[in-house]
Amino acid sequence: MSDLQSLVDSQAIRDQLYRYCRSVDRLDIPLGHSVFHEDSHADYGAGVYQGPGRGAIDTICRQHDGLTSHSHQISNILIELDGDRAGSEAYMTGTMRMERDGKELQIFVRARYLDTWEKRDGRWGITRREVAYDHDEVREVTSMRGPSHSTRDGNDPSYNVLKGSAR
Amino acid sequence: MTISADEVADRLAITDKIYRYCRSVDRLDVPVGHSVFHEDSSADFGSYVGTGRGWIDYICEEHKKFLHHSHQVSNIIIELDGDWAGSESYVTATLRRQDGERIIQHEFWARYVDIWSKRDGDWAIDSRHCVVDYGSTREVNPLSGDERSRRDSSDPSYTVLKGR
Repeated sequence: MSDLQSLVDSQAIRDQLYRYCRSVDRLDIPLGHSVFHEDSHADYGAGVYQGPGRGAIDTICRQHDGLTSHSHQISNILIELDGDRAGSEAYMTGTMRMERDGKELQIFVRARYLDTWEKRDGRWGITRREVAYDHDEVREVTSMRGPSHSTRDGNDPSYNVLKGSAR
Repeated sequence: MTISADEVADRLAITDKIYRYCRSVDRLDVPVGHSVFHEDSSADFGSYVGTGRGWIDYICEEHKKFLHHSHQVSNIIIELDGDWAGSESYVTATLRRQDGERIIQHEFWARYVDIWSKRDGDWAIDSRHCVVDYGSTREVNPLSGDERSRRDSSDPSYTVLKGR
């Protein structure tokens, strides 16, 4: 894979994977919708969500609203291109904080996003996503509380530097 | 600083191999792991010092003692020198094992320090030194059991990645 087009295509797919994380961390639904094609399907497991890809964004952003903060970090990304189609595996570590019964709990998930992609009208989007969960954990944590500018809406400072979103 | 398309392609090819190494040891896929190391390569993981491909055979067997594991690479620095390269990649690995009724998690923060060469157009490792910065072991309280992640070719990733 040394031709320039494949470098550009794989970079566009990596960018979309990161934008997915940005969407569910900032609760930015329009941004999340832009990662999935309209007729896409998402399978996050029977207990979480199975249905249209864009519906997954709606559901996850709604569920995340009940948490205090969260961060989805993608590491290893393997992409196999085949013209205007592609398959990818992306490792993800998600940490989510919530308050329950006066305690601060942290959920830790290690999972893999397994995606099928299509480039339509020049834009790469997911046509099918399946999530494989490797392991998870819930435990009580002690917060190091300090000043934070992180918000889960358009006031987050990231919106000053990234203007591409639909907000 | 200017960077050519060929250099970007070389960097991506090396990055791809670093990730395929993780895929190999997490899915226990020995052929994928062998493709990451040249035949005459060496590996030094402290507890193992020997050939690169021998390490894959050894660690895929050792990992069977665990329930599941995830090797996640973040920072990757690559220095190219023609058909040679050096790289450092940070890895956070979590491994779970059963101990009676308890689930124990081992966690390592380490760095893969690699020397690479491109032979017949294929980048692979000549030598890998795994440097462990620190680690921890503790009991964990799992949330849920999802049975779809497997450590063989029935894992759903094999339906989206067909290359190897």
